[in-house]
Amino acid sequence: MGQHDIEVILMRQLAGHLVVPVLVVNLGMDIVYYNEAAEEILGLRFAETGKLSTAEAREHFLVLDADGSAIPPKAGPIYSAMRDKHAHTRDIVLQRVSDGRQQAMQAVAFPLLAQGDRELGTVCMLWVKP
Amino acid sequence: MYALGEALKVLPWGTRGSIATPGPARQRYGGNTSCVEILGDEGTLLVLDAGTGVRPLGESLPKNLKRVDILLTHLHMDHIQGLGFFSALYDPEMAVHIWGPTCPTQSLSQRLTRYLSPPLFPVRLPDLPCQLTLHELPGDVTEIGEFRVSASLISHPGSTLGYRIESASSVVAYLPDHEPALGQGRVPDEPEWTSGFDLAEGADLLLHDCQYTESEYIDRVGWGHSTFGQSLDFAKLCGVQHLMAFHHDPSREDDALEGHVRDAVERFEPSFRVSIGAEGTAETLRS
Repeated sequence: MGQHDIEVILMRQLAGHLVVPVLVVNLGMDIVYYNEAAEEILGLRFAETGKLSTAEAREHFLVLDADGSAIPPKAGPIYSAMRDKHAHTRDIVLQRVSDGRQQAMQAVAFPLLAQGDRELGTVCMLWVKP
Repeated sequence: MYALGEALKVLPWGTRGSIATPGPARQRYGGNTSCVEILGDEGTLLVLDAGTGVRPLGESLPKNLKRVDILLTHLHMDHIQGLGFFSALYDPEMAVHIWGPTCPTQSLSQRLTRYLSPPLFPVRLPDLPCQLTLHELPGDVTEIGEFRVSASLISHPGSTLGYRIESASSVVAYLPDHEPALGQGRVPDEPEWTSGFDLAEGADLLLHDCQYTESEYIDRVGWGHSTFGQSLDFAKLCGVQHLMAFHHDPSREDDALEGHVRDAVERFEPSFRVSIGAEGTAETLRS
């Protein structure tokens, strides 16, 4: 099992101490870590699921537009931040598959660009709307 | 000093962290700052860091040596302070390759020149007589003579590398400034989430930061160093054969150093060998 880059490890450490829901996503669009605040929103526990591929994530939650239509992964802020190498934000509705619960939030994604021109993935923070 | 045909030899010339601390209370383990010589059985010579220990190392270089590679973990003073006093840099016949961490704003040359230039030092880096080549890491695995060298960024303030050096028969890992417990207060038990794991996995010899006691660490979280206990946990996770305690705190006298390591070993009961890095005490690794 390969070790994550130090920037990803430190990002997880930081996210683990924040109260804002945070997803850490690798270049393959796998969610390699989500913190406790995100666990509540997603209805999942990282200790139980570990890394989630895009397909696995879709079994647990859907990312929708404000009008209820699905946002394709490549149109979402996580992929856009990775592609454009700068931050993206978008209002989304996150719907849990298990109970259909919907939560409106603002997703803010920024790319993890490391020294030595290394692109490591994206971090997405979720700001729950009142 | 060495005959070809011997196995890989690891010889610390400086084991102290932070600042050189000469004196009678530190004679057994030494007061020079980080510097380790690695000599392969085909004669390839690597110098790990250029703390004050690199000056006496320079005096012992084989007369017929034509190339030396200096692998810097980072540019804190205790790891580069001896550089200007390393004799190889003043030999026009010597090819000197300095490897060090990359930085987004300045080249390695620019950053080293901040120290190797007036007023801090009389000689400018570009004016050194040797045949100097600088390399920035991390990058692909590098072949240096008979060694395969891997470098990765590790948990320590600023851009800091750890090294994994592989010969045909042995693996040495060098992480003298490393805080894998940062953020958790303990070394994670998941290899993929542990800084430095890939470098140290299965190493025959791991030279690792053991600067603090547990009580000292409480007030120094984030300074980039480990306790003896954390280093033992890290070594266990990585499955190493031998942990050499390194980067001794400047305040630690020899008797106290031995006491702290002995206490930690008694508590953790490691299944691998543990030793205290000592200037001039070589470790020979054989297949």
